[in-house]
Amino acid sequence: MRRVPPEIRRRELGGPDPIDRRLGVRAPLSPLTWLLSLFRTRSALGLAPSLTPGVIFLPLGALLGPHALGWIAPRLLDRLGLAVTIALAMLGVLVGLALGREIRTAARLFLAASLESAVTTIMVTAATVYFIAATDVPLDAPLIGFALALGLCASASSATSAHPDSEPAAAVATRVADLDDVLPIVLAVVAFALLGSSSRADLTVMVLAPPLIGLTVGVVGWLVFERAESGPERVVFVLGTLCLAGGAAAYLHVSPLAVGLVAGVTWALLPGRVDRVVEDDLHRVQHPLVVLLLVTAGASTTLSVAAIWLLPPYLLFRLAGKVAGAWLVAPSVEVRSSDLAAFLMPPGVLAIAFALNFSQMLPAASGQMLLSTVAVGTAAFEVFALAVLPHWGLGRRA
Amino acid sequence: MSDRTEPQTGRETRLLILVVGVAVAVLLLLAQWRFPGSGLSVGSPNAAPLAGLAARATFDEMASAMTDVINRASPLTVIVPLEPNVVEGTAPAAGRGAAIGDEKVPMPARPPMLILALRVRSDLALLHVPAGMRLQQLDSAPVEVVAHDVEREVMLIRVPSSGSVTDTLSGAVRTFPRFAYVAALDATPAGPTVQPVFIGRADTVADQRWSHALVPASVAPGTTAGTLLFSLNGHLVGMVMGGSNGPMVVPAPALESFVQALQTEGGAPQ
Repeated sequence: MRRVPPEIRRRELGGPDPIDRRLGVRAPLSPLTWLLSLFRTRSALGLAPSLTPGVIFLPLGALLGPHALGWIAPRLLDRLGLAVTIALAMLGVLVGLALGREIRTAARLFLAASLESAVTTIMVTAATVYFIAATDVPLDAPLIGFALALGLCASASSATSAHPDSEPAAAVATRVADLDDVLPIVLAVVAFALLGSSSRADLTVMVLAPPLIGLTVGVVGWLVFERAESGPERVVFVLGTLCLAGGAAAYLHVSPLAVGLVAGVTWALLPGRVDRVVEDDLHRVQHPLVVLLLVTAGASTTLSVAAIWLLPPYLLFRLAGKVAGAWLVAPSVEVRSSDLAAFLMPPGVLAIAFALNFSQMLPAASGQMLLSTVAVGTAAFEVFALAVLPHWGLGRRA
Repeated sequence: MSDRTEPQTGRETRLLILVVGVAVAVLLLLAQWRFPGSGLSVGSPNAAPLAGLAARATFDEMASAMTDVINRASPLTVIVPLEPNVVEGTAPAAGRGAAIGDEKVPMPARPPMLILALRVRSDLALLHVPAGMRLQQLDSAPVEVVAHDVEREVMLIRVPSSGSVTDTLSGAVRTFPRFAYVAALDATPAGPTVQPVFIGRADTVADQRWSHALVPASVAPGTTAGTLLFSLNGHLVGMVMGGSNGPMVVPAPALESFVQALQTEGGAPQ
């Protein structure tokens, strides 16, 4: 296993790491970049809130969606399903690349992140099962599968509320947030099998298909990427491989996130520089696809009674799960548990990605309920982090 | 790097207990209530994202289009039960006795029926009520009749408000389609159902009761009075009404004018 220079490690939303800045890798400063940077700097100092994509694009999607301006019609939302699937595969690849690079050097951190994620998943799943059963919420999907899906959406975290190099706890939380998405993606394969399989043969296919497709896509990419004769040709290969991953997952009704994860790990572990090639080329489409995911999720959100009904257990037990998970793993990563929990509070894009992923699989009513609950919950947690964390930091420093 | 050597303090544990305790307490409290809705809107599983790219038989295309229409149009409709109105509905007695006197005998009782009402506003629905029938009032859910136009056999009723329905008529088809398939929606005890109907060459018939010309329902085989016609992209085409000249399709613009007249006048234009 070769050692990967730390400067190429990227956050799940892309963009340079703090180490890049230390090395002096700077992009040209546009007015928008300067404004966002100002927000972030002031946020790190506790002077102003920070902006995250979820705060901007989820409400924007809701505004443009069928329930408001109607610029994004239901038929267009249906058509966007394929692009969403490819975007999910791309996110899976990014998580897989991070995992493949860090699994040996940061195995302890990976285990801690997985434990934190598992605690949140279990708490939200258990609370959802109890709440749905106790209040007789009608559900057109298996209760355990639905609750597990909601729990997996809750487990995602992004640690985007503070700059990673603003303080040591933020740096650790950023790495935990990058690695805590792996376990939910793996468990999502089980949830997909629970929700979608009707026979033992189906179950076998749905469990085995993601790793097999991901491995195949990984090997195909490894064989062709470095043999491209030009940059544009290579981009076509990368995007084509991504479409293959997403398309195969959609065809077999399995999780594109899991397929992308396996492909990303494969590229990171195989010899050569294919992982850097993929990362460079994905960087071109990463941000537009993330925006597409968020806008689509916002437009698909329907504030039904059922979605609002499920918000309390989702919000309360995600909060409790993050606090409990951070309390369990904080000694092993040598940060204060309250700091770790605070930085892990924003769910980020992965929560929306999980919700979109499950909503494609669930029956329409349950899928819409899950997506709406997670979208509103994500926006609430992002705003919560935006409002609370700067004061939290000030309190600690005082 | 003081954070890196920070031990797990009592404050952290107290915070954990507080947050988990509050979460559990609030959950137990909220679990005392029952879910207020009667049920989720039933939906079939979403189509796979690639389903649109797969080759399909022609009839599969039609089935898919009909499913799409019923999913879009169902929220715009309400199923209303009708019952025979034997008191008011009388008919001249047939046979030799009828020729002698002017006495009337009760119209043969028609069986109760279900009919689809069209949501024309978020809380108003328009339905065809054939002569001899009336709205069946259920004790559990009485229906408020806003207006009843006996001449046109149309009734406007108040229905539970739906946030997803804004104005069905303003987005309706303005020109009656020719040589095209439309979706014919009817009521069944299990919910609205749909059939594809081909509209061929259609002539129009002027009717002074309506602002726009009507189309004989014979151009849409299989439709009966009360059937709602929608285009394949889910926009209202018209409603089939009974009449002395046989069933007629009242186009959406005529329905829109009628509803506007009802609302501005505050009652049915008799």
